Amino acid sequence: MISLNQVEKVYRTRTVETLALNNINLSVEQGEFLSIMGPSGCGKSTLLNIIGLLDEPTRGKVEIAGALVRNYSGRELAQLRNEKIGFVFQSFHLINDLPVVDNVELPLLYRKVSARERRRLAEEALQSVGLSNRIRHFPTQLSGGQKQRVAIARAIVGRPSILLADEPTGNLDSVMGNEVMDILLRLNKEYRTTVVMVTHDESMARRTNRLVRLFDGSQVG
Amino acid sequence: MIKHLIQLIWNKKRSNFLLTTEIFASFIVLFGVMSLVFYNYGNYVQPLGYDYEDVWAVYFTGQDTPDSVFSEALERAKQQVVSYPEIDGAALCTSNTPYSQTTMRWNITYEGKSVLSEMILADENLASVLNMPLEEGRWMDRAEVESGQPVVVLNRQAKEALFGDEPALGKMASLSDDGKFWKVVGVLGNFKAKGEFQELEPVVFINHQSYDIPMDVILLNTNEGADAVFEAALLKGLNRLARGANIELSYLTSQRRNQHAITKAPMIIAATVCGFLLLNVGLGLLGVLWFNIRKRRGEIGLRRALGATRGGILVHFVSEAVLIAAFAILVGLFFAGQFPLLGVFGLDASIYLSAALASVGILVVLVAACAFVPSREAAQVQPAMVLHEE
Repeated sequence: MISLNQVEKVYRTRTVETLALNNINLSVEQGEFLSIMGPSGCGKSTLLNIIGLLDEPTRGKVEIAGALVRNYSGRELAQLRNEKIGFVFQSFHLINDLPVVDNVELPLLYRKVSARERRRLAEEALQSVGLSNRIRHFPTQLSGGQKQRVAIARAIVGRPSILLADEPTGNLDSVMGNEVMDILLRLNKEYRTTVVMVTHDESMARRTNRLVRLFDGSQVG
Repeated sequence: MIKHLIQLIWNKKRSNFLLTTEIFASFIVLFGVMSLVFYNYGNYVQPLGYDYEDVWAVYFTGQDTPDSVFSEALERAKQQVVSYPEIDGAALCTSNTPYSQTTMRWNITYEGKSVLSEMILADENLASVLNMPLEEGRWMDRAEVESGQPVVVLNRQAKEALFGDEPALGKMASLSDDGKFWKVVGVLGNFKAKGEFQELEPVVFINHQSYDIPMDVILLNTNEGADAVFEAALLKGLNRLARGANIELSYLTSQRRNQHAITKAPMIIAATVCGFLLLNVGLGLLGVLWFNIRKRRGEIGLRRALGATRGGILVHFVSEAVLIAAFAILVGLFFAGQFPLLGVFGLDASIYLSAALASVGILVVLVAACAFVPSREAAQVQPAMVLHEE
């Protein structure tokens, strides 16, 4: 489902060159739940951005859902992101001016899906995260855990085959964090959605199928 | 997507209120200015109906001179001036000459139908001096003028207002309450007495000998020999002939310039005010959008992550600005629509329609142009960076 071959990422400024990722080789199968751990600044988010097609590697090959994305145009990458990848962020990234249901519909706006179908899929996604009674609420009226569940509903509404979660429990207390983790595990199990999660929390990482550790941009385990 | 944008705008209505109000106010002012411009342009493109180049107007004002003596002096003066080689023709008429500030409005009546018209008293030479082409019939002739025959020449607007589609020639129309009738002998095309920017109105030319109003102007058709030296000599000769009268000479081209300045002044003032308002809208929009885009970097990154292309982000933000403007413009159109419906200022509905369309076009282009630059910056936002920033 995800294949990274000798991936390297270098950030260059006029004076400094920073090696963010060094020779990463990673393969994630369909239905696998992989967690990435490492200290701050080790390249976890950079790796997730490259897998999520939000950033390009300086060197190496990236293959997502069978597509070798090296020569993809911006439009093709956007389409691939929209159809194959769902994102969950640590700080939720909900649009406060839109009700919950409209936040969840967002990915479908960039596809040819009718308004009625968008609404049906969004309500279904909200139901699957246990928020069907909050569809008209605005994000500011929700708790942190609820916000993250909305973000998960938004990530899965387009039925992506890959779910990328960047410290999804980082802003939540342990109870809410566990609730969110339970949902991610259930989605992984029920729909065989491939999940890649960046986390600082060992206990969360232990609940996944596989753990990859990074240190100074290199894979150490 | 449009519904999504409308929802976003509606949910942010409080923060969009000031901008919407500003665009609404600009639309109303722009609509007013454009109505004025279209009204004047519509008049300007209509044929004038006469020539003004090389035509001089000599105005006579006699203070204590009896009318009969004054008229005789004027007639003598006219005979005198046509003898100069620099003068190709001379005609007597009342002081409501082309481009003058004087008007003389009278009701002309035919079978109980009255039409308020500009009435110009003239002699047999006025049509040739001003080079006025006739559409029907003829101009009054010398015999008619000398014998005081009650004859009248109408312009097209007077003819249509009085007779509609019926033929006018030979019909007898009344210009006074004493039972006297004037025979229609000719019909001109347009005749815009106050110049190019005047609305087309009914004008009637009647034989000056048939009406009890003294003439006080001689219009002269000059040729290239008529220079400043000749002008001085002419005035000297006329002063000798019409002693006791005040004589003033002006060129129709100068009067035309003055008349145009009077018409253009309010347009220029209104356009300047409107220009500043539009500049204000443009700068306000730029400021609001720059601010919004900085505030919404996370949302932009999110949209990119969820599948929006750079072009899509550009279109999103430009569309959002245009939709805010569209809402303000819709409210403005409601008020603008009252002008033709209530017949305000009596202008043609097509003028208001053109003004509204032009105002909409100008504002939409302005808003889209001002939204383009900040929206392009929004499109350049790197999702990987801003999503991590948050």
